Amino acid sequence: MGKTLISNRLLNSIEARPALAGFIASVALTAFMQNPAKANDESTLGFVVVSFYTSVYETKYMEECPRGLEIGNDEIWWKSLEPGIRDELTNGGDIEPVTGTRRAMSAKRGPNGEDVCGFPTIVEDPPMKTVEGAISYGMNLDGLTEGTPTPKTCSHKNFTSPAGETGIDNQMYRLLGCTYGWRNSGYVETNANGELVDTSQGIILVEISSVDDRHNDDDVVVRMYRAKDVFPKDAQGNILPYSSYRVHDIPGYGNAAKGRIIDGVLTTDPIEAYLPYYGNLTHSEIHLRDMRLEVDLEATDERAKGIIAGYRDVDNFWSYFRKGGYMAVTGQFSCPAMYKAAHELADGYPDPDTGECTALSSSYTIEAIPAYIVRPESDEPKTSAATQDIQDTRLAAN
Amino acid sequence: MNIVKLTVIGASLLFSQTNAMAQQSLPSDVGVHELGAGRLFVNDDGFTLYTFEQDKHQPGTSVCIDECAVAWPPVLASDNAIPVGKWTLIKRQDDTPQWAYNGQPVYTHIKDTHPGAIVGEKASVSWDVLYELVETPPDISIQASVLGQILTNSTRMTIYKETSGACDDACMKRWQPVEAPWMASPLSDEWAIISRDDGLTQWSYQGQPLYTFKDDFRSGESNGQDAEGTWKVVVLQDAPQIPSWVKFQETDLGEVMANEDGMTLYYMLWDEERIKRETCGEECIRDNWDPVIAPEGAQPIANWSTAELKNGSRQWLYMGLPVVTFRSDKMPGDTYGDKFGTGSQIRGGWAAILKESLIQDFSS
Repeated sequence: MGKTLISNRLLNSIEARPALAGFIASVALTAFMQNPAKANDESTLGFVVVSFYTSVYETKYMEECPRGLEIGNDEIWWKSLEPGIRDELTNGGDIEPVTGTRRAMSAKRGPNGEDVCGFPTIVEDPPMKTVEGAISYGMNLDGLTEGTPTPKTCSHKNFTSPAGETGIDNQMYRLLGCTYGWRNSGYVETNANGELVDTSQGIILVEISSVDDRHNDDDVVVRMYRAKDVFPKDAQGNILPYSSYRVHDIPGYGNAAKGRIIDGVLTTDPIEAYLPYYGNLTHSEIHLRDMRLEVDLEATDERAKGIIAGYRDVDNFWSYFRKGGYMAVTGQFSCPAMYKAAHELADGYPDPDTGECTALSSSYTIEAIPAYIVRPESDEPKTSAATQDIQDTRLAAN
Repeated sequence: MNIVKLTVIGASLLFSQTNAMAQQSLPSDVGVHELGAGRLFVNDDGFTLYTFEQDKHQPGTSVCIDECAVAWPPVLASDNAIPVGKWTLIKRQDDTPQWAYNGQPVYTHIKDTHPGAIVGEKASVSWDVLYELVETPPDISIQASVLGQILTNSTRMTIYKETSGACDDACMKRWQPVEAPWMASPLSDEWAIISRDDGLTQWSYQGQPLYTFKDDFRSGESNGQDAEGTWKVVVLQDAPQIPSWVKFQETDLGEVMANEDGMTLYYMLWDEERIKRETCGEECIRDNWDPVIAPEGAQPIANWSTAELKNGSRQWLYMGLPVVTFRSDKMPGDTYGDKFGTGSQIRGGWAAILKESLIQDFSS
C-alpha cells in the first residue's frame, strides 16, 4: 500500500505497537461466546461498528420534552410570510420543503438574503426546545454526581441513567433529544446509518489487543480505526460478520486506550480520539476528548452493544451542519437556534480566555459485529502471505 | 520459468495503423499531441480542443452561442479553409466558419490558460476532450486512474508488468497472468501473446507479460504498485503533472492534495460573490481561509496556473479555481473546510481537492 505507518497523532499511546513484519490479522471474536473453550490465549479481537446513533432516551409519552419537539427552519420561514407571498413563492404550497428550491429560499432569512446555516448568528430564532427530563444514557465523564463546575467543566445539569446511576453527563442529548431528526426513526440519524451501510463510508473498526481472556481480562488495549474496505453483505443486504477490513491509514486514528473486560463488558480509560463519520452526504470526523467505551461484548451471540462517550468539541459538532445545512429541513431544526443552544449547553473544556466551555458531553450508542482487522505495519504492499495469515487465523479460530 | 514461447504476429498491421494515424490529414490550424494512450487534438497555439454533446443533436450546427461561446470559444476557420479528411466546416449563427471533427464543431475552453491544460475535461459532463484512444485487445481497456491512463482487464482490474522479467512459481501465488482468449491473435508489435508451459496464453505489452494482482480487491485499486521494487502498473500516459510542492495526504475523505506541511488544499466551487452574499462574507473569508501563494516566477503546469491578487502577489489556481488552506485545520489529515460555505445547499462553497481530481476520462 506504500503508505506510512499509522501514527498516533496525539501522543497518548500507552504502549509500543507490536513490531510485527507485514500485516497482522486481528482475530475476530469467532463464535467466542458459543465456544469459549476455543479462545485463543493471547489474541486480538476485532469488531466493525454497524450502527452508530446519538444516545437518546425516549419515554412513551415524550415526558422528556414537555414543550414538544423543536420547530424547523422551514416552519420559521413559513410563519414569517404573508399568505399571498407563501402562495407566490411555493406555487400555492406545492413546492415541498425538502426540495432544493424551497429549502434554499427558507434558509436565506438573513437581512440581506444570507443563508442562516452559513451565518447562524445573523438572526435570532426562538430558543431551541431542549430536553427537560432527568434520565439519560451516557457516562459520568467528570466523576461528579453534581454538575458543579470544575477546572475542566462548566456548570451543568446531570442526568440519572435508566439503571439509576447518577452523575450522567450528556449535554448532547439535552441539545438534540427533542429534535425530530435525532429521535427514534428520525431522519438525520436513520438516514446517516442507512448511508453508512449503503456506501461503506466512515466505517469504524474496534481492535482489542493483548487479550488473554476474552471474558475477564484486566489489561487490554483498544484502538479505533477507519476501514478502507466496504461492508460485505449477504443476498438480503445484511452485513456479514467475520469479514476482513483493511485499516485506512489516516493521521489521528488508532490512538490506544487502556481497557479491561469484566464479565464480557469492555470499558476503557479516557483518551482523545478521532472517529470517522459519514452521514447525510457529509463527511464529518468526530473529535472526542476523554473518550471512553463501555461495550457489552456478549450482548447477543452476534453483536456487541454499548456506548462511546466523551466531550465533543462544539466547533467539531457544528462543522457537520456547516457542511450539511440542508439537514435543518430534513431534521427539523433551526441552525441559529441550535448553534446558540450548543454553545450555551457546552459543559466541558472551558476556553482559557473566556471561561466559556467549548465541548458538549456526549454519548453514542453503537452495535458492532466481529471482524478481521488488517492494518499496515510497513511500507510494503499488501502481501498474499498476509492473506494466508488471515485465512490461517480464521481456520484456527474456527 | 513458465514462459516458453513468445509469439509476435501482426507487427506490420499495427505499424501500418500507426502510420495511417500519423499521416492523417489535419487542417493547418489544428495540431496533435501524440500521448501514450492516444492522440490529443489542439489548436495552433497548443490549446486542448473539445466537443459539445448537445451539438450532436443538430448536425452541422453549433448550439454553443452567446455566453456558452465565451466560456467555450469556437475554433474558427479562415474564410478560404478547405475540409480535410475527418475535418469539415460548419457555419456558426453569424456565418463564421468553424472547424468540426467527425461532424462535431470543436472548441477550446476559457479556463485552459496555457497549452497543456485540460481544465475543460471536468467543467461539465456535456463536454468531451477531443482525444482518440489507441487500440487495445477487446478484453483489455484503457482506464482513467490517479496514476494516469492505465490498462485494465475485462473486469476492470489493474494490469501490471514485472520489470525484472521473471515471475516464478512463488510469484504466481500473488500475480495472475492476464489471459488471452484461445482464439485471440496478436494485435501489433506492442501486443503479443505468450504461450505458457502451464497451457495458458498470456497477453504481453511491449514485450512484457501482463498480470493482475491478487490483492487488488476492487476495480481502481493498485496495491501491487512497486511491489518488490519491480512490479509496475502499466501506465500508458501519466496523470496530469502537479507542482512539486503539492503532496498527497490520507484523510477521512480519501487522499487529498496538501501543501508541504501536509495541510489540506481546497478550492472554491462557487464564485466568490455568491459565497460572500449567501454563506461566508468578506470577514468570514478573511478569518477562515488563506490563499496559497505562488513564488515569484512560478510557471503554470498542466491544470495548475496562477492569478494576481489585489496585493500584487500571485495565488495558485487549480482547474482555474483559487487554491486556499483552512485555518481551522490544525494538522495533516484535517478536512474541516470541506463543504464549508454550502449553507443549506448540498454542494458548493469550498471543497477539499481530492487526488481523484487527477483522473482524466478520455473515453467518451
